[in-house]
Amino acid sequence: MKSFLLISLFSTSAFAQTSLKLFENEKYKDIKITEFQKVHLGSDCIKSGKPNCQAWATYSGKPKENTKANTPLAGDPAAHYCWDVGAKNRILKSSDNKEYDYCIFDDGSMIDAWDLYYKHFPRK
Amino acid sequence: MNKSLFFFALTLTVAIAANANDDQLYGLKPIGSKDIPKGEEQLVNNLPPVMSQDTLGICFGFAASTILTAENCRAKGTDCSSLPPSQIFSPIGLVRFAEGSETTNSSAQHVGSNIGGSTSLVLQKVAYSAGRAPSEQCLSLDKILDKVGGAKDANHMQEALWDRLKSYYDQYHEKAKSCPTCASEMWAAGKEKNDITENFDINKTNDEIVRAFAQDSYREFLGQLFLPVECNKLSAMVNFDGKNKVNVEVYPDSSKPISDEDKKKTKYQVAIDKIHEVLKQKRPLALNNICLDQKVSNNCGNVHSLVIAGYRNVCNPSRCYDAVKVVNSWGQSWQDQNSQGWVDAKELLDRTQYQDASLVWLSDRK
Repeated sequence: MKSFLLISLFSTSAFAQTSLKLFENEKYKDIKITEFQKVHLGSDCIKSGKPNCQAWATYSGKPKENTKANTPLAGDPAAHYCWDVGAKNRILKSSDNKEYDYCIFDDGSMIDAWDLYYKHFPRK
Repeated sequence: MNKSLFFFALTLTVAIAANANDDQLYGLKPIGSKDIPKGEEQLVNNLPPVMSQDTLGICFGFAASTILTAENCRAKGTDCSSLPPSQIFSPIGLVRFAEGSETTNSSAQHVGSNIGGSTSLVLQKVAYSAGRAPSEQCLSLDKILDKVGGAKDANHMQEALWDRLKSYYDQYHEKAKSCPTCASEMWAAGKEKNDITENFDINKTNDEIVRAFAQDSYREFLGQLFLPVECNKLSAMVNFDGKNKVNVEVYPDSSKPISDEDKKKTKYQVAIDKIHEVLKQKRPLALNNICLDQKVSNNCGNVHSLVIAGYRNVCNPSRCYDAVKVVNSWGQSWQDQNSQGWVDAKELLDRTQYQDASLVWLSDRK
């Protein structure tokens, strides 16, 4: 068990980590974000040194149909796409109040919305 | 239901659409990583943190928030990047200042109808009359999203209620034409009032509800009804230091004659010259009416607003071109993945088709 924990700790800490704030149940809570292969994921997704969660599975999978609002004013397309892949979009804040869109999945895993968007819809 | 949830829906302009769309984003073409800056760069650095509008079509509120907050920082000489939320104008709180043409049906259409020039309307209301607006501390989108589970959920749940509310408002005004007193009494005591207080969880007195109904426009009615009471307190507001000290200027402005000098230039060149002029004053500009569709048309399906905060000329082996730095309300991650917001200026500006009030900025009142 000890060695498993050590391996897990080592594996996770091998990636760049940052911290963002998510407003949930009337207060902000810290969310650890891990950068894995230039993709920003909730750190909970990293298991035994590898991403293993719905967010990563979606990222690695095929693009879904990209729908859009039926109004003339454009919202954030990456935030829209979160809904298209079955996740919710949430705004996370850095310590200096910069805002980031994250898709949050049913298993609690999350991924930067623009990382996902550009993976599925690469710029031509 | 929570009232924040419904204020959220007040600003809601999203709905699920069945149409698959073109997945590319047009108009925001980042400069190449190897493009080299040439000549002098103009940059407004003292800006509030980059925000996200989520799926809501309220980009003009975010642009207005950035312009107003930046003007306060400029006037006070404070560091905008480290402002607490209590000193940042809430984009959602500003949306209610965007008076525009009314449509007849759902809330989504209602709010969504107000495009083009909305930023200038918001800025004029705050700079010329209101002088203050709710802060991010009181009314921020990340907090509202926690309650509603996201924009599309909220829209689904509330579409029918919104339609009912619009119908109540129309009925009130119809009755008030012939008998203002009867209308007020009816709304203060009738089933419609119960429907509103129960289903929209509004903590308002009879008088407050009647006053809301008496507003001239449906948008004002909604704003008065759903803005959390605590956000109307002075302590929850941000004061605009430029009130009665600045003018809100726009380009193009069809109400003014075109100068002989401008007649000799292309619209693009006039716009770039305006951008130079304003950035020199260390002020950002809002850019409205940006059509993000593949083909720009008068019937654009994706209209956007953002902030211009910098200009530079860049060169690569094949050409030199103008670039502007934009602050987009699509979150910091978009900025990070798009040359920190530096994009091809002509590609972007041409997408406005140079409609009235495509560029909006503040200037010192003389």
